[in-house]
Amino acid sequence: MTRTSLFILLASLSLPGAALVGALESGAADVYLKATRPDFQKIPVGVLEFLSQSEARWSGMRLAEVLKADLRRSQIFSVLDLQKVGLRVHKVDLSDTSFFQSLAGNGVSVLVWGSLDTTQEDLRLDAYVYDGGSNEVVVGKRYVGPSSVVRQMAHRLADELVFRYTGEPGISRTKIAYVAEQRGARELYVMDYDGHEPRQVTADGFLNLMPQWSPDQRFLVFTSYRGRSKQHIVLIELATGERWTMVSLDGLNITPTFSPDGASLAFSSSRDGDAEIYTLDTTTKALQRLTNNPAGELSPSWSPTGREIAFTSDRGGGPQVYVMSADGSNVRRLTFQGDYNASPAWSPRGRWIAYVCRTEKKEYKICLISPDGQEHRQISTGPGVEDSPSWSPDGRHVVFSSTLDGRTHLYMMNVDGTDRERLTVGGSHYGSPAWSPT
Amino acid sequence: MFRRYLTSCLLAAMGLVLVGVMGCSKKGVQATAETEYSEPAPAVPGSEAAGKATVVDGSDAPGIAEHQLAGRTSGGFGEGASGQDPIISSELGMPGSSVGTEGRPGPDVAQPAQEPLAGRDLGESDRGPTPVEEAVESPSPVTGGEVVVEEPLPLVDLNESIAEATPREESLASEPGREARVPPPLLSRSSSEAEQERVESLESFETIEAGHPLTEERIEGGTLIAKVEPSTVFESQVETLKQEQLAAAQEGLKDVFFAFDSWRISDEAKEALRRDAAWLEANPSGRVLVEGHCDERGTSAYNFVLGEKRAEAVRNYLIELGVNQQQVKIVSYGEERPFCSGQTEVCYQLNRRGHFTVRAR
Repeated sequence: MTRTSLFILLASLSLPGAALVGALESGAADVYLKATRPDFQKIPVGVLEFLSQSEARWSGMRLAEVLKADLRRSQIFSVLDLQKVGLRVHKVDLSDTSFFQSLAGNGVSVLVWGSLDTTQEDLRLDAYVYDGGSNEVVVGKRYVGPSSVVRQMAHRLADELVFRYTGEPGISRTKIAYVAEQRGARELYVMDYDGHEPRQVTADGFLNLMPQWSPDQRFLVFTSYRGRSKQHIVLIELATGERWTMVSLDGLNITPTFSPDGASLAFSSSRDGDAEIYTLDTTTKALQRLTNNPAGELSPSWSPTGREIAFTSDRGGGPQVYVMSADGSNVRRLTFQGDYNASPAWSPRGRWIAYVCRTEKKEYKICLISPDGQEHRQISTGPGVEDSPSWSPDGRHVVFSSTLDGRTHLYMMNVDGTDRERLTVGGSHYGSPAWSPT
Repeated sequence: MFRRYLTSCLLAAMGLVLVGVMGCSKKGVQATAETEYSEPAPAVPGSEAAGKATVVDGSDAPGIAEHQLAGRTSGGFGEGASGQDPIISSELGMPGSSVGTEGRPGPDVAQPAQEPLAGRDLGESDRGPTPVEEAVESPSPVTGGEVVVEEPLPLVDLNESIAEATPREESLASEPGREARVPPPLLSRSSSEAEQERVESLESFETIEAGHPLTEERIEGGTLIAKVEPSTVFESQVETLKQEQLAAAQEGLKDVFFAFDSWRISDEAKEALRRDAAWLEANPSGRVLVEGHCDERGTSAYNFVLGEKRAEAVRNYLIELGVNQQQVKIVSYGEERPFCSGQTEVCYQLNRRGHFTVRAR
């Protein structure tokens, strides 16, 4: 090989590398935002239908569909259509090494298969995973449980896969608390993160609003009314239904939210004439007022470190998003675009604050802003009034309410606004979604 | 020649370095979710705790137990019904408070409603007179940035109405030995602990040869949420609300309407309010509640502030007209109790209202 051609070879090797690194580093934020990661970085996974006996056949198909949806939403995997890549296998023989070796040729890095059987009372799922990277059949698990938990089995398996490949727990078993209307009343519910298996938490016949989770996920804190005319902030233990009144001040008692370590409850009250943000120490019960301003301050949202709080204030005329330290000092305004920016939600990863922004066309959309205020994006578009953004624990998804389908429903989308999916069906009104912390 | 050779060596070295870096950062992108904000990424996959806050001490809320009233039945709804007092309340006992009604109207009117308490979620029960709601407290002078730290409020207000020990159906209260249940041990685990547990249970994938028996995991059925269904509480609420609507309509108390994003009392509104004021002055024992409402646009949280401003504007105007402030209470419902549910301008306008309901004494 001549020196010239060697020179050219090496140059051509280094340039794409440089370009790629350049793209990854300088535009890292953009790359992250675009598709959380572009498809070429996702792990191609194939999921075979889980074989099952005739009675359990429906569950086997459903299980595979639930698993595929979970893997897709994780943003770690790209779920392949196995028919399209030419894989028509029904039963996998563990000793058939040539089959496994052929997977890479078909673009499949990870293959998941298994069988679903019914015993007398239970379902039994045997799940296997082949990992192309290590060229090994990683033996998965056997899940046993009543047939009512078939979806949970798929969620569990998906979380195992996400954990194996990223070291983080997945979000397939997370929950979303929300408010749903029932004959004019608004009550609290909890559902799976994919919109399934809703469970009613309150049935008081009036208004139970703005739920947020405790960090240990055992409680919801929310705003309720006593005698229909007096607001207060209530804690409910999900496992028992038992309640405690946390705060009962004059005027508004709204937007309660726990600090990430559970030591403080921040909320807004207008007992002093206008809405201000207070914190309640959950152990000493000491009340501390954080804001002091004749304007209205509300909707506190803690940073993941618990050291700062984003909030809405209309001290500038209309509502805007501000940030302050957790003791109320160092207040600074974050949003300067538009005349209505409210309801901030700080990502559990700390990277973004989601909020509701009003566009020039007077549409209420979901926007993101970085905590230093430098970068901002509008991530939802189109018709509808959007509200109440809330983050998944992995910081990759946002759940929110929107009226784009006529009535107010709950939707989730990736942090870059793609893959929007509706979570609720039927009913008349859904709102105030809150994603569980784990 | 030599220069070209040198350049090619340099480029080759760069290329190798870049390929190496690219490999690393590619893995980095896969392994971490998002660049941490002011926190180092967890060093070991799975030890999420590294990035999280401190672990909360698992003991029960300390200062609570001794303040607990003995003999309180437990369970069910918190204040007013059975169980616990509000942890922070504006009722008597606050330091520096004066028993007055400034700022907010006077004692809460006891509800005549029979709100049967059934099941686990006990609704409101305002039996007997409730104490003065507010206590005005003159806020200590605070300059911007300073923090007001108030003394911890007493946890028990002895004037708080104690619900008679009415028998409740199938509620937690009937279980013996659950008296005076302490308010939640609250957050006995922080989220980092909970997450660690989850993570540990996930470290179960093992690579073994085919033919090995699978490790088994049982997933329990049932749910982690106590069952609740709409009950008679629900129905009676709906019924009571209907009665109130009827009463207000019979008295001819008219709603007033507002412009978008506004709480200004228009001229038409002033007309309506003059008539409402006349009714109130003619019925000095009459009590009304002015509800502030918004249309669905905007955020539901901020709409509570807007609703409150609307209700306050109505109340202030009534007082300006000479109405006794004791007769008018206000509440904000934000966008949560719309009059109509369409997405038309007409419906929006109907929702932006100050609504009167007649309260029983």
